[in-house]
This record gives sequence, structure tokens and C-alpha cells, in this order.
Amino acid sequence: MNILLKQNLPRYICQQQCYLSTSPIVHSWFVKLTNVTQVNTEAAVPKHTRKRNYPLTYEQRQFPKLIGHTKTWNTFNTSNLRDGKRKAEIVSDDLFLRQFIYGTWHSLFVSELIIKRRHNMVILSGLVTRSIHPRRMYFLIGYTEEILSALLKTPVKMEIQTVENKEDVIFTYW
Amino acid sequence: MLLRLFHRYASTSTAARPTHFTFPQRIERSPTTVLESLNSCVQTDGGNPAYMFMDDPFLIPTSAYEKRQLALSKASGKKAARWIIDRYPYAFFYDVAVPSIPSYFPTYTFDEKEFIEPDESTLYKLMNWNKVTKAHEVYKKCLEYKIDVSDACKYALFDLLCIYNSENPLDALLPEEDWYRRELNEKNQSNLMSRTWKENGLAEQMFEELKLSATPEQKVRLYNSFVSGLLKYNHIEKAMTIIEEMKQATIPIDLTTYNYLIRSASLIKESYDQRWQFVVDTLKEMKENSIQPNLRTFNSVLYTLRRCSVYEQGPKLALAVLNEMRQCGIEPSLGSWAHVIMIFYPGDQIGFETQMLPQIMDELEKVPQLEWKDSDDGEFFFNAMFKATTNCRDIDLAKRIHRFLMAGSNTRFIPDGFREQLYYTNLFRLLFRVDMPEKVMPLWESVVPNVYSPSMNVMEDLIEFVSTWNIQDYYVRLWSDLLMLGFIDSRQTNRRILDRYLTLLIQTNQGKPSTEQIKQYANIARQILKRFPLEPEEVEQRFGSTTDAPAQQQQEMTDGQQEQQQQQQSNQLRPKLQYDGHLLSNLICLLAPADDWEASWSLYEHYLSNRSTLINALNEQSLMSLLSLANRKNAIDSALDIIETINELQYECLGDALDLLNRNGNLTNRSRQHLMTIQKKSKVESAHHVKLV
Repeated sequence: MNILLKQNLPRYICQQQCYLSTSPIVHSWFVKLTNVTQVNTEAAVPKHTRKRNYPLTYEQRQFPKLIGHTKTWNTFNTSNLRDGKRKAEIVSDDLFLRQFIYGTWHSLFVSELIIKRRHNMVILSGLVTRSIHPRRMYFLIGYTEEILSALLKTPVKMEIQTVENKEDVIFTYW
Repeated sequence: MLLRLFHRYASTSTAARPTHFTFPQRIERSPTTVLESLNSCVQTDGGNPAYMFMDDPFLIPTSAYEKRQLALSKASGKKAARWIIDRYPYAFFYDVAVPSIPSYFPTYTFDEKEFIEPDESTLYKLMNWNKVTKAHEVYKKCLEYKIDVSDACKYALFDLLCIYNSENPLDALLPEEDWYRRELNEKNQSNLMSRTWKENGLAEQMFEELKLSATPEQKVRLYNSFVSGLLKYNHIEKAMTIIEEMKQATIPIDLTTYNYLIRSASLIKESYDQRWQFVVDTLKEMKENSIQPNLRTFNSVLYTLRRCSVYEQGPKLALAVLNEMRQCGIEPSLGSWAHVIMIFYPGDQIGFETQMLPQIMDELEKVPQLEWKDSDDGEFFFNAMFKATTNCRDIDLAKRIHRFLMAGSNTRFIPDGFREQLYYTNLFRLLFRVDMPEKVMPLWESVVPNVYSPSMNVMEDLIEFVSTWNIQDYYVRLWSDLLMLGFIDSRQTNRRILDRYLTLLIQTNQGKPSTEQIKQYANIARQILKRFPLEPEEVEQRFGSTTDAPAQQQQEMTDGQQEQQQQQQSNQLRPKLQYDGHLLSNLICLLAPADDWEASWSLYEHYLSNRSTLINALNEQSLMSLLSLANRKNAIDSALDIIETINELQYECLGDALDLLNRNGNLTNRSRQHLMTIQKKSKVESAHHVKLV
């Protein structure tokens, strides 16, 4: 992360900005990278585009450093509490679920998939655009629920909300 | 503070202290007790859709058609998933659930190779997996290879063949489909009394075979199963011959067979007296053989009585049966009451004086929790509401039944969508005819559209109701309700509702409606026009002619024409409402008072240009309102045009029309002369009486 150091000089002299890089990649003892693109990038933090037209949803605009402050996680389970079970399996199941939904619901989800686990049930939520007829949507819902239950051997339920189109969830352009 | 201490001391000293303490007994709870008690706190509420639907306005169905469509699409998705699971079973074997859940695994298919050894364990497995025909094949193989099959297994197989009529039992439908099983399962629609037993089927073959080698106790079981199967599938003659055989061979008949026998009494004997005699004889036989009747027996007796439709002794006998039941210590179930209702109110006119239904409701309200005891129980609510509304026509009774339905979880006693639809149809048709809006509308709001989507008859009754009680605030809401419930589309069947609704609005327009209302009604008219755009008829003719054009000309078609054709094709796919003069006049009547000149005039012009193809003509009211609008806007030429049309159609209102235009101060001399010529030419009497300036 680049920190701007403002020196305590009076304003009429110039404000020199000192860029001290705190990127873990640069300071790591084990991974020595020097090329600019790899060193100056950070996960899930996009750089401003020249035309400032890269769309970001509200969730994407809250960068990962805000997780736990103004942003929560996208999965809710108790595996990380004390005596929590099946940490690894839950993480891998989550990855699988996200990929499955991404592939089955073609360009329909406009938000991240929210995965909630209650007892042994898995509840999937998210925002979906209204680009297909409700009949097709219910077909997808029935299909997804049945096949995911059979794969994970737990009851899977979907609770989705619909949104008119993708533009409704765009928060800013970056 | 001191006073408080004093009081506390006083209370403990004056209260009698118990001398010994008894531990309360442990109450055995089932694993789902907490869930059940939570469930009892929640009642069915008309605010949200059924559980199988998603809670989102785009995905909530409101009309009956949509509900069925979406429920069945969901079931179809599940079936597609099932197909994938069965096609690629190797992906679904990893199991993390303890205990493992069988329905999440691929459906167990039978390989020929696995079960090539005809063995008794194979037979048991096949029977457990509902493969009765396959089990019979394996059994035959056992006989061929002379492998010993135990008697228990043989008789179990025979019982299954009789129960399922030598076929495999049907797979259970998914819950979404099950609600609509009446429409999906055509077998139910056919006569329930038709004979479906398979002659010389597997069951009969096995019967012949086993008859030869059976010991006396086994014969009892054998013959009883066979007769029960025959009676269940309505093969009466053979059943009676077998019973004769049994009597000759002194094989005792057991309870299930007697139950089936009583139930089919209406097929065995023709006249009502003979049927009742048969039932009484059978019951006497049971008594002689000291077989205790159970709930099913009594329900079968009542069922037979019910099938004797208008039988004078019916009610008396039914009461006697109920007494017997109580003496035997069996509580009547909902099914018994369902039959009793049909016996006491056999037709539309009969039975009102007996006051049976209120008594039945008294009885039932005493029961703390209803349970499913018999397969007839599902008919109770439907029968009760049917008779309460068509026969008794008693609002309080109907509301009582409805309250009883809503109490606790009694809604599960309406087993499928068809019956629920009829239940609510009956309820609302009665209420709309007899009751007041303050009482009916809350009930209507609570039930429609999530629990019940009304059919067209009920909507017509609703419109009648709203118009007789003049609930003006509801009219505009009624429009959005009609849209939501799917009654505004281009189908011919829904035209009546649209026409009826528009006449309702126009009637209020004739009174003194507020400007707000006029605007809203005009909005509704505009919405109709937007939804179903006016299609000029000439475009149709052009399309028709280009299809007849020979091939050469088609090659020379310009791009413009091709585009037009495509547009017409897409227009044809969209629903087209057949506009007729009646509808046009209604729309004009709604738009004109709101000073919407362009829309009304365009409708008028549409009428003029398509006069040959439209069915009715514009009526007087619409033309007069259009004329008054033209007058207000000072569009004199259009006004004259309208008057000419009135003249052509020879309406009586020509006199008033002339008078109205006459009073307008902005008439030029030419227009006045025009008016006079019209008056002279007109054939309408009253027109000549008007004094023109």
C-alpha cells in the first residue's frame, strides 16, 4: 500500500509527498519481485482506468481492508469458531458452489453468492437479473437445489432476489 | 423499605408450606417437538406466497395459471437434476452425511448381472425396491431352477401383486406435482368404478399355482388377499365367485376383505334396499365370526350409504351407524363426517332443515387436534363448504367452517389444488351474494392472491358485488387486481370480465365522480390501449396479398417490404385483442370526460376506417360524450363529423346533438348551414324539432 507522508512544513513551501511502499510482496524475504506490474498490484483493489468507466458494485468498492469494518464476508458458517468442524471441507465446498452457480446461471447473478450454513443446510442467496422468464428461473432453482443437495449430501436452498438489470447494482465507475 | 420487608415476611409465613416435594414426571418428547410447537404458533397467513415459491415480486405467481406453471417448472428442474444424477452416478457417491440420506443418491438401478441368481434374498430386495413384476420374473426363474423359496416370501410376493394389480407401484410424485395431481393424473378423472383388474395377470397365475400347494392357514391368507385385490380394482363377478368358493371351503374372511366388500356394495347390488341389506348381512357375518369392525369398516358403510343418493332411510341409518361407532369406542374421523354430510344433503334443495352441519361443526370443534385417520378424510372440507354454500346458504356456518380450517394446521386436510380452488370458489360465491363488504373484503384480502387465485366466475361475482354495494374506492384497485390475477389479456374468455368492468366504470362516470376518479379511469383506458394496440385492418390485407404473390414477384421484393413482413409476423405472435364497437365506445366514454382529445379522436377514426370489420357500432353515449368534448375544445369540423355519424347510425340522440352544437357560440355560418342540411336530410324525428339558428 502506498502511504502518503505529509511533511510538517508550512503550506507555502511545497508539500512533498513521499511514497513508501508497504506492499508485502516487495518486503518479503522469500518472494523477490521487482517488476512494476506485479509489485504494485493488490488483490481486489483495482487501479483507476484512464476513462474511469470500469463499473464497480458497492461491495466491490469496499476494498478488502474494510472487511470486518464496513464489509462482511460472503459465507457464514461456524467452522472458524472454537471447536468448529470441517474448516477445509467448507471452504472447498464454497469454492465449488460459487463456480457451479457461475456456470449454471449464465450471467444472471449480479452480486457475489452469499452462502449461509444453518445446521446442516446450505442457503444460497444473491441478486439475479430479470432477463429470463420466471418459468426458466424456477427450472434453474429446482435443478440447482436438487443437484447441489445430491452432491453435498446436505439440503440446499436458494433464496434469491431479482433486480431489473445489471446497471442497478453499479455503484461507481473506477 | 421496611414495609416491603414486612410484606415479604408476612407472605412466606402465612402461605402453607408443602410438607414433601414430588419430582415431576419426565415427559417423553419426540425429536421434532420443539419444531412442532413452533409450528403451532404460526398460522397460515395470506401475506406471503406458498413455501415453494421465492419471495420476490418478480417470482411470486398471482393467477392460478402462473402458480401451476411455476410449480411445475420447478418440478421439471428437479427431474432434470435427477436425470443428470442417474446418468453420471459415479460423481455422487462421496458421502459426508451420518446417517446417509438415500434420496440424495442416484436411484438404485438393477443390473441384470447382479441378480442373475434367482435367490430368496433377491426376491426380498426387489420387493423392497417396489419392482414387483421383476420379482415375479425372478420367482419364475427360481421355480425353473428348482430353487427353494420360502412360503413367507411367496405369500408376500402374492400380496404385493394383489395390492398393485400385477404392476409396479407408481413412483411418488414430487410435492409440487402432487398438488396438481388431479390434472396430471388422468386416471383419476375417469370413473372410479371402472374395472381395472388385470384378467389372467400375474396375480391370477400365482393364485392358481399357490392354491394347489397351500395349507389351510395359508389358504386363508391367499384367498383373502386375492378377494381384496379383486374388489379394490372393481372386478366384482370374480370376487363374488371366489367368496362363494371360500364359503364352501369354510375359509374365514378377514377384516380387510370385509371392509372392501362393504365398500363395493354399491357395485354388487343394484337397488338401495338390496345394498343396505347386503351391508347388514355382511356385518352380521362379521359379528358371527367375532371380527371387530374398525374405523375403515364404518367409513365403508357410510360410503355405501352415500352412494345411494336419495334414499329416505339414509339419514336415519347414518345416525345409527354413528351410534354404533361410538359404542365400539371408535371416534368418527373427518372421512365419516364427510360421508354423513353427503348423505344428509343429497341434493341442492334437500336437507336444510336437519341442521346437521352445525351439529357436526360442534362435534369437531371439541376435538383438540385433528389427525389423518382414513383416506376419506381429505374430502371433508370440500364437502362441508360445498353443502354449506349451495344447500344451507348460511354465512355464519360457512365462516365457521373457514375458521375451523384456519385453526392450527388443519389446512393440510385439503389435499390438492383442485379441491382448494373449489372450496374457496364456493365460499366466495356465497359471501358475494349474501354478505356485506365490511365483512367480506378483509377475508378476500387475506386469501387472494397467495392462498387462492379466483376463477372467472368468482371475479364476475366480485364485480357484481362491488357494483351493487358501490364501493367506489375499490374500483381502481380492482383494475390492478384484475391485471395481477391474469384476467386482462386477449383471450376471448376474458372479454366478459373486461367489458363488465368497463361498464361498471362508465356507470360511475354517469354519476358525479370526482376529477381524481375521472383521471384514474382515463388512465385505465390508456393502459388498455397501450397493452392492446389498435391494429388497422388494411395492414392485414396487404400481408395477405404478398403471400399470394408468385415466386417471380417475391424475388423482386424490396427490403422495405421484407421488413414489413417480418414486423407483421412478430405482431401476429403478440396477442391481439379483437376490438369491437362496444369496447371502443366504452373506451371513448372513459377518455372523453378526462379531456383527452387525441386518444378519443383516434379511437373514433379507427372506428370509421374499420367500420366494415368491426362487430358493433359505437353507441350513443360514447358519441355524445365525444361530441361534448369536441364542443369544449371548439373543434367544429370534428363535431360536425360526429353529428354526421350519428345521423348515419340513426340514433335518437341526434336531436340533443344538434342542440348541443347549436349552443356553441363559435359556429361559423358555413357550419350552421351544414347543420341545417343535416337536419333536413335526417330521418330521425326528434332532430326536426330542434331549432337551429
